[in-house]
Amino acid sequence: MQQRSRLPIGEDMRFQERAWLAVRVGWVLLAAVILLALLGIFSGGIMSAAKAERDGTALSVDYERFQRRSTQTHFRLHVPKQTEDEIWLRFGRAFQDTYEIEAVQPQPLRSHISSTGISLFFDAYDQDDLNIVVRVRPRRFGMVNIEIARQPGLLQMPVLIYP
Amino acid sequence: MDSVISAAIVYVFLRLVIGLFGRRNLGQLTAFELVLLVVIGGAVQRALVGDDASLTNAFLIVATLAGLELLVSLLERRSRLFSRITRGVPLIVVENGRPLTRRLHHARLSEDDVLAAARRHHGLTAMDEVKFAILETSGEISIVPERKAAARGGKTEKTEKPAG
Repeated sequence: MQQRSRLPIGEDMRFQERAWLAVRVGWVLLAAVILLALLGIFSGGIMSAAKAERDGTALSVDYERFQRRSTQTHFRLHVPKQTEDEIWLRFGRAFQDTYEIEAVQPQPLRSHISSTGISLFFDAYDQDDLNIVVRVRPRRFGMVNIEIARQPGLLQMPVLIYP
Repeated sequence: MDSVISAAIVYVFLRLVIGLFGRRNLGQLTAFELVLLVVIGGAVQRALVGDDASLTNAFLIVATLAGLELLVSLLERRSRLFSRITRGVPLIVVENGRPLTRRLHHARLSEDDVLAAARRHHGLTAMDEVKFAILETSGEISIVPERKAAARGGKTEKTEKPAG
């Protein structure tokens, strides 16, 4: 100990011990981030996959609960077979403000934009279940409550978009 | 504004992650670690630039990163505590020829690393010829040889050179 004190190098074991502890906490956090990423908390995994459906609404939507800004994602809509010739879906205002719509498959017959959102009309004549894929790119980040309506009901999807 | 905020977030994140690597890697990068750093740079670059490949965006990102680095260096000069947090403190890892194993373990160094530094800088071949080995904040290992060993080390270097 005498020898060490004679070496003026500015060693500080108390500080060093704290630094080691901080580094170890950092390792644990790093491991946790990797694990959570594998589980899908940053999008693309079992924790991110979500399904919205509701009794009385002939519509279900598969989507990503966690999304990333500027990274393409999709909403997969399922409309069970029914008697109408045309299916009307309305994507709420939050959807319109949050996403850049890149593609809709199948192509809608027509669309209509209003203050309440975007309405899309699909041909359902002589078709079984209708599966619609809407590819979008989030242009902002934060918590968003997405709404997709099909008469007479409404589905709500809370989505977290990472920066 | 987005570019400045993104660059600032990336700067802080990289500071934290590189801090987790420990000092060892800063002084002794292996070829693989160098490749890893290049890959990290590439991954971050895409997120920073995004769709905006304009010269203005590049200038903003470079200015933000350079500004933050300058700010950190100024703070390091002004505040001893800040400097200790960002750079760490020197650490004695060998004392009077005796390796301090717990410290070596925490610093993720081995006795071989210390001996390699002793060979490189002073031509020493045994641990008892090392009076002090210090892990510097730069990640380098400084060696203070025992006096007798230092004198011998000079000779050793001379005699070993033709063989090498």
